[in-house]
Amino acid sequence: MKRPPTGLMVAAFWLAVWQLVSMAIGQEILMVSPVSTFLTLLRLMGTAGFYLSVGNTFGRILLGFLLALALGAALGTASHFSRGVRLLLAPPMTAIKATPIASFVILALVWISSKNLSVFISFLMALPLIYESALAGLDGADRKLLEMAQVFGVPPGRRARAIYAPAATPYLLSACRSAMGICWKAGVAAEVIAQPALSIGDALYRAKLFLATDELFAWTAAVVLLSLLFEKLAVKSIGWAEKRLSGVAK
Amino acid sequence: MIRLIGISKSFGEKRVLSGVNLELPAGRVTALTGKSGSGKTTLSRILLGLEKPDGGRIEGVSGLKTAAVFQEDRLIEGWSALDNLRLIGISKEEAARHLAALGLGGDWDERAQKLSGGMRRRLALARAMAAGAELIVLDEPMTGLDEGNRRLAADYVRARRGSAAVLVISHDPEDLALLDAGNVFSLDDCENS
Repeated sequence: MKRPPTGLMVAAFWLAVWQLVSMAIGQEILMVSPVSTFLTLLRLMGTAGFYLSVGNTFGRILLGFLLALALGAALGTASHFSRGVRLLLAPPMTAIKATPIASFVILALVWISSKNLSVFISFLMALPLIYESALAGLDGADRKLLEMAQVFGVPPGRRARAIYAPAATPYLLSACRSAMGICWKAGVAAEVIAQPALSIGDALYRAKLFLATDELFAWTAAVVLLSLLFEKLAVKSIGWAEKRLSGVAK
Repeated sequence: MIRLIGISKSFGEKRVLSGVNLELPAGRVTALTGKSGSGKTTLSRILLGLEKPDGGRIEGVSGLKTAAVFQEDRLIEGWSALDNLRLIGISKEEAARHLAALGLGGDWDERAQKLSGGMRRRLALARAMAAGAELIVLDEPMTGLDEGNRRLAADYVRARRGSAAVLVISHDPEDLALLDAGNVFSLDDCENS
């Protein structure tokens, strides 16, 4: 007999635990059951506002992440080739990592419109992760292959495809996975504080305000699912880009 | 003509080369021999611009196109044999010709990591000879090759060296004879101590 996948069994176990805890508490306003959460999510998915909120939040977080990916990779490359840039960037990257998200959110609200705050916060949280991984990957490029490329006078573009891209990609993929989760958490948290119209953060805030715990859980479930989807998309895209970059010696 | 004049090199307290003089005529194969640790690889790295000498000078290398077979094969493991050759900027057809000449014609699409030790060595040799270089350093180029492939590789080097100055590092007098090495320079004989 074919055994069910382990992942499904683990998910079923934790859903059962959630259901039992909800039944033990017996008050849906304190702990919504998975069934109610699913039904509320279905109800929300029947409204246009749901898709507008998801689209707006998804777009802002994706934009923040992509900006961090582009700038983090560019700065990581610059730091690999220039000791001056590396020294110059070390303090701000450390400061960004050590500063609480709430401090940035409150400070950034002074400079940036509530609509664009989650873009900026997602960008800021992902930037040091991407930067450090790009730098570590490039620093780890095979020295002997680089010497070979130097002796043969291999031009920089081909060196990047043959030696640097394969060295940096595993680091970047790992950083993207971590950055995805952080972008979602920080981006939605920023929206809860800034409350831009038609966003997941605003919907979460309103659910809390009106004690609509079922909606709070349903939106949270939507964020978790979107975050997983986002991660899979990014990892597939980078894998595809890596194959395109390093697969042929054109 | 490439001239190395009074080349010295130390690593920390250890003196590896001391006042070495060597001439590499264009269109000829020069052999570099010496005991293990005598500085053969260090001298070749200086010649290729990968190390700076502590003393002495090199004449005739400025602007020269260089190529090498290193002690290790130094291939792009995830790339095919053909793409490893195309890395140095030659056409697909030219790369295929070089692979065929070294008995790798049927393996052009195979990733480097899947090739046997002898095939990898021949691929590294093809890369060095296909680059159109004016200075070619071959560090133990026959490592891992059986008798038949040693002869094939030697014929290939002799046929394609053209006007390049070739420096071969080898312990094996038979390999040096096969490669038609006219000058033999031993680091054991010079004042290097």
